[in-house]
Order: sequence, then structure tokens, then C-alpha cells
Amino acid sequence: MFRHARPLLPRTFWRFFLPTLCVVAAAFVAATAITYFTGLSIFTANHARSAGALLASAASGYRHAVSDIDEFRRHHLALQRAKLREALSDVAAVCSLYRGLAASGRLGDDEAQRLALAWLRASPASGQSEPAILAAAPDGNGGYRLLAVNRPMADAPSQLLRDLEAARAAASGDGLAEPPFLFATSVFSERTGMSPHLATAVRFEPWNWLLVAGLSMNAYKLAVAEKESAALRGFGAYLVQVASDMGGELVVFGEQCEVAATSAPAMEHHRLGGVWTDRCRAMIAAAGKNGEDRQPAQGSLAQPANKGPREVFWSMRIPGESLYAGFVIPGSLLAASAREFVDTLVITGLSAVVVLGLALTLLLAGLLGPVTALTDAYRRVMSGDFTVRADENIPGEIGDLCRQFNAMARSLQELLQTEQLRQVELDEVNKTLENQVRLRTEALANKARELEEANRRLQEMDLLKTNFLQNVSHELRTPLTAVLGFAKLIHKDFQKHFAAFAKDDLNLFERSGRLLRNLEIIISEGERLTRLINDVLDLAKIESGRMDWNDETVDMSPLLLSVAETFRSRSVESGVELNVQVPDGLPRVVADRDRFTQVMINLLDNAFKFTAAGEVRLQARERDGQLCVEVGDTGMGIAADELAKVFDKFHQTSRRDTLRDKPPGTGLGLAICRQIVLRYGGRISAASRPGEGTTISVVLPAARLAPQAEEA
Amino acid sequence: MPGKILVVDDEVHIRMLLEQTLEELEDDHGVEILTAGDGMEGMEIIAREHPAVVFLDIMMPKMNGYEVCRRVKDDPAMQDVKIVLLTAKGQEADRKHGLDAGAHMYLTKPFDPDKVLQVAKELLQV
Repeated sequence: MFRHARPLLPRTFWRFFLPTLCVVAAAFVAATAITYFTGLSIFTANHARSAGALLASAASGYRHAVSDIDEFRRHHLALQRAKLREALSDVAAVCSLYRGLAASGRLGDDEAQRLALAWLRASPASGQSEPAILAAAPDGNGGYRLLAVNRPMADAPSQLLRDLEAARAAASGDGLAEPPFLFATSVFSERTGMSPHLATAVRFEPWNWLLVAGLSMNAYKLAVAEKESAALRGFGAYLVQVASDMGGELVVFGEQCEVAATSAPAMEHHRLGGVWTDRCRAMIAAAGKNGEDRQPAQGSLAQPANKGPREVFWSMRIPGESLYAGFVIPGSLLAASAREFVDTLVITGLSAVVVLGLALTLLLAGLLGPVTALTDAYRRVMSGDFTVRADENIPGEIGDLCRQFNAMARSLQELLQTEQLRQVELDEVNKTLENQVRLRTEALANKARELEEANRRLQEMDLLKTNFLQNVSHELRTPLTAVLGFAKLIHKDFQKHFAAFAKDDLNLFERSGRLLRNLEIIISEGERLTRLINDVLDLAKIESGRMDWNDETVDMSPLLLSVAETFRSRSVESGVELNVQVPDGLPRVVADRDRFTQVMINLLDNAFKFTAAGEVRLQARERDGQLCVEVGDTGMGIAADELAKVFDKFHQTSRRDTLRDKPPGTGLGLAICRQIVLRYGGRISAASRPGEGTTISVVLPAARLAPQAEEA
Repeated sequence: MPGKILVVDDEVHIRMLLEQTLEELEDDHGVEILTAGDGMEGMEIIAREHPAVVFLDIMMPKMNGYEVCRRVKDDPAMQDVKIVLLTAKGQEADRKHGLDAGAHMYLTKPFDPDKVLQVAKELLQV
């Protein structure tokens, strides 16, 4: 029963290993989940911080770009103004020259004015880069009269001149003051197209002329536009640079969603559809909610047609500008970062679990190895090998266990050796005992054989006895037959033929009477001898088991009544009443009809024999499934010391004196009755009070018959 | 016509007792009484005299009563011979044995002479 297959690892190992591994794995899963969500929020916060920094960078970069452009514009405007001032001072110088000539008298004043105007007309004005110059004089009606111009003009510049004069007068009374600068588009535009110009004017007092110079702003505007474009490109490049590591798109846009710069120019197509507008409006709304706070607002956007995870954005209004900066990052990117983090965590965790499992395996194997060895040792001890020993050099509790085990094994070994010695002694004793038993058995067998022999001899003797009795009875009967037969013949013949002769002689009459009485005694004793022979033979046969029983189911009521009927005449003769109480329907019994009749005759005969007066009672009844028959009398009774012996063989009452006139019995009747009743499982008993009467009871078990047999 | 009665018994006193018992029939009805001392002789007399009734002992030398009874009953010519077995054996089994062998009646020794006479009268119908 201990030899089942050994598992690769002890079962205890699995009992510890698997739960520990499960707990570790569960802890790992929980830690991973917590880390994942915590990590996600940390990532989001990080991204928010990065986005804030990015947006701040974008805002400051944009401010730099704007200030660059302003600087550039101021510088160029100053250059333009200088250019205009230079041109006017040139014209004023020429006018002064010609005025000086006129003053010196070399030229007439008109001539000088004409020459100056001619110079003015001839001064180069080709292209847009050279200023247009004109001279005008008040016409006395509040307006101005155009004197000369170096370029064809679209319109009379009266209004401009008025404005300039007003501005100049307002600025300062003297000509040293900074001349006013006004934008004049309509005056200097050509017929081919509008051309914005910057204009300024000085007054040439000697001639009361107003000298005006206008310079086309197209070049300036172009340059400014180029500068703006370059600045924005630079800003865009800057955005690309700062946002390159973040994976999202950094974009600066206006109130109307016009994009100022973006870190993802390739995504330009996004701007075309409503997608960008939606996104832009969401970012503006989020930034607006945040108010003037410098902190960027965070929000999320659904992907178009809900494809993929939502996008996350941070947006803010650039302070002092009607512009917004936004950083949009795809949610998937954020999740991917977190996933990457978690992947790393999972790989590390799984490695940790595997390492822990291996460590646990080694630990448990190391711990349980000695236990397994101890179990093996135990099994070997169980199978009878007491020489096995566990490893005693193991430290700790298991070592203690091994040492205890070894001590036990040693004790067992010693016990076994003692036991073996004892067994040897016991075997010796057994051997002796066996010898004795054999001898005794042989003696017993001899004795049994002797007994068997004796028994056989006894049986033979018994058979011999029965045969002898049968033979004796046969041999006795023949002479008895002759004796009885002749006695009866003589009695008959004598009565018939000789008694008549004795009638007349008294002496002879008495003699013949005595002769007849003596013959009757011979007959009576002969009959008694016959009964004795018959009874002895019956008893011998019953006792030796050679009696032929004719067993049948007997209906007792008719049998008892018919037996009683045979005693009627005797009752009348003796004057003893015969009281019969035999009901119908008594239970049937299994018995030999003739033998049971013999029993009843015997009992009734005894009752009449010992009863002088009164009655003889025959009663039968059923009691507890048994047939109970009682024969009672009012006779002399039986003394208590005799009562126990009435069923013994050859027992006859010692009080012969009361039966002097009755024929004596054989002393076997009740013994035979008892044997017959016992043969059928019944019992017979006697109860008596001396002087009052005797009751003999016979109890027989009722026959157990099948119903149909009972019917039959 | 009066028949014959044969008495077969090896005991001479029993033969005498039976002869004297049956004498009455001889006197009153002219019945002839024959005797035999053993079974063999009894068979010869039965074959020769053809008696109406045979009183037959069982335990006899030479041939016992059962054998005689069986032989008589096996012979078709002697079917009307009535046999009364007389024996000391009183057991039921012996009685059955005798009746099986073909005997008409079975009387147990010691028998009552009056009973024998009565049986003989009945069998002879006198």
C-alpha cells in the first residue's frame, strides 16, 4: 500500500509553491494595474508640464518674432524718412542755390524760379525706389497751385498739401523742426494701380513754395512682408525644434483660426477642413475658460469619425496678443507611452515572478528533500528494513526529526532483534509443543479408534441383544402358544364335556371349579407373559432405534373417542364412571396411530386398575398450539417419592396389597408410553396426591401442515 | 362340499394344538385336517390335496412360509387356496411382508384357539 508512484516533486512543494506563486502573481497584477493608472496620470501631468513649457516657449518665441518685425519696420521706416528728408533737403538746397543766384543778381528771380522748377522736373523719379517730388505755391484761395513735379500724377494734391501744411504748422513754426510724415496713397498712385506712399513737405519761405516728397511704400511693405515671413518661418522652425521630442503638434493661431505657425507644416491639409476649425474652436474655448491665467488649459478632442483614441490638447492665449498657442497630442501616443512603461513593468515583474518561483522551487526542494528522504526511510522501515537511517547532519527542526526517527529506528531494530530471539525461543517451544501435540493427537486418535471400536462393538452387542431378544421372544412364543393354546382348549373342553358330570357331586363340583380357576390362572399368567415379551421387545426396539414407525397426521378427536369407547364395558363392570371430555376440532398431530392408541390404552388401563371408586377422566384440549391430553382418576394416588420413578422401566407400585385382585402389570407400560411420546417431540408427566388420585398429562406438538394438506 | 384344511408347522405341539382346535370342524362339517412338518412337505400336500385353507408357519426348515405362500400364489392352479400365516413375528413390517406374499390373514403367536376356529369357519364359509 506504500508503493504508489513517486511524484517528481513532493506534494508539500506544490502546497506551498502554488499558493505563494499565486499570491505573488496577484500582487504583481494589482501593482501593475495601480502603476498603470498612476503612471498614466503622472504621464499626463508630465505632458501637461511639458505642454505648459512648450506653450510658454511658443509665446515667448512669438513675442521675439513680433519684436523683430517691429524693429525691422521701425528701422526701414526711419530709412524711408531719411531718404525723403534727404530728397527734400536736396531740392531745398537747389532752390536756395537758385535763390542765391537771383539774390546776387546773376539771374532774375523768375528765371531762378524757372530753372529751379526745371531741375526739379528733371530730377530722377524712375521706379519706385526714388521719391516723387513736387513743388506748389498757395493760390491765395486757401488752395495750392502745382508748380512742378518730377513724375506724372493722378490727382491734384490740394488736400494732401493742406494736410501737410496744417501738420507742419502744428508741429513747429520754424523749418528746422522735423517735417511731418503722412501716408498719401491717392496722390502718388499711378493710373495703373494704387500705390501707397509716405509723404513729407517743407516750406521754402523765400518763394513761399511748399516742397513735397513722396516715396512709394511698396518696397517697404515687401521688405516688411518678407521679414515677417522670415520671422514666422524662423518661429515655425523654432516650434519644430522645441516640439520635436514631444510627438504632438505645437500650433499658434489667431482668433479666426488662421494658423500663424506650426511645428507640423506637413499637416497643413488639416487646416482645410472643418476638423481644424472644430479643434481650434475647442482650444480657444478652453483657453478662454482659463481667462488671463498663464496656466495652459487642458482638453480633449474626438478623432474625426471617432476613429482611435481622443486627442489631448493644452492651449493658452498668448499674453498681449490676439493669438493662441495650442499643443495637440494624439491620445494613442500618451497611452502608448504609458503602455510602454507598463510593458517594461510587466516584463520586469514577470521576470521577478519567474526568479521568485525558481528561488522558491530551490528553497522548497532544499527544505522538502530531507522530508522526502525521511518518508522513503519510513516506507523502508514499514516494509521491514530497520537498518535504514535518515541524514542526521541536517540542521534545524527537520534535522531533529531525522535524529528522532533514527532513534526510533534503532529502538525498533533492537526490539526486532529481541523479538527475533524471542521468536527463535518461541519456535523452539512451539516445536516441542507440536511434538507433544502430535504425540497427544496420536494418543487421542488411538483412543478415538479404540472408542470407535468399542462403539462398534457396542452397536454389534446392541444388535445382538435385539436379535437375541427377537429370537428369544420367538422361541418363547412357540411354547407359550402351546401352553396357552392347550390351557384354553382344556378349559373349553372341560367346561363343555366334563363340568356337567360334576353337577351332582358337590365334592367333584368344587374340584372341577378349582380346576377351571387354576386353568384360568395359567391362561392369565400366560397372557401376562405374552405381554411382557411384547413389551420387552417393543422397548428394546424403540431404544435401539429399530422400531418401524408409521408416521402420519392423526386426527386426535376420533382416535381418543374410539379408545374411550373400548373402556365403556370396563367402566360398567367396575362401577367407576368414565368421564370423557374430548371436543371436536382438536389439532392434528404427527404420530403412529397404533402406537398412540397403545399409549392411550395403557394410560386408561392404569387409571381403571388403580381406581376402586369414583371416576376416570379423559380430557383433551388445545393449548398454545399443542395438544394436551390428560387422563385423571380418583384412585389411590402415587406417593411423592414414587412419582419420579413411574416412567422407569420395570417400576411397579410397591403397594401391591391394594391390587390383590387385579392382574399384575409388566412394569414397562409407562416406560413405553414415555418413549413413544418423546419420539414425537412431546412430553409426559404425572401429578398425584396420595389418596385423591393421579393425573397423567401428555402434550404433543400440533402438526404444521400446508393448508391444502389440512383440507385433504 | 366341505374342503380340506392343511396345517404346516415344524413344531409338533403347535400342529397338535391346531389339529385339536380344528377337530370341531371335522366333526361338524366333515372337513379333512391335513398336517405337514415343513414347507417342502406342505408344498407337496398343497399340490396333491389342493386344500381350501392353509395355516402356515413362517419360520420353518427347508422352506419358510413366505416362500410357500409365494409359490402357491404364483401357481395359477392354486389361486383359490387361502393362506393364513401363523407366526411369532408380530411386527407391522412382517405382517406387510406376508400379505405381499399373497396371504389372506396373519395370526400372531400365541394365538387364541377360538380365533383360529372362527377364521377357519369364515374362510370355509361354514
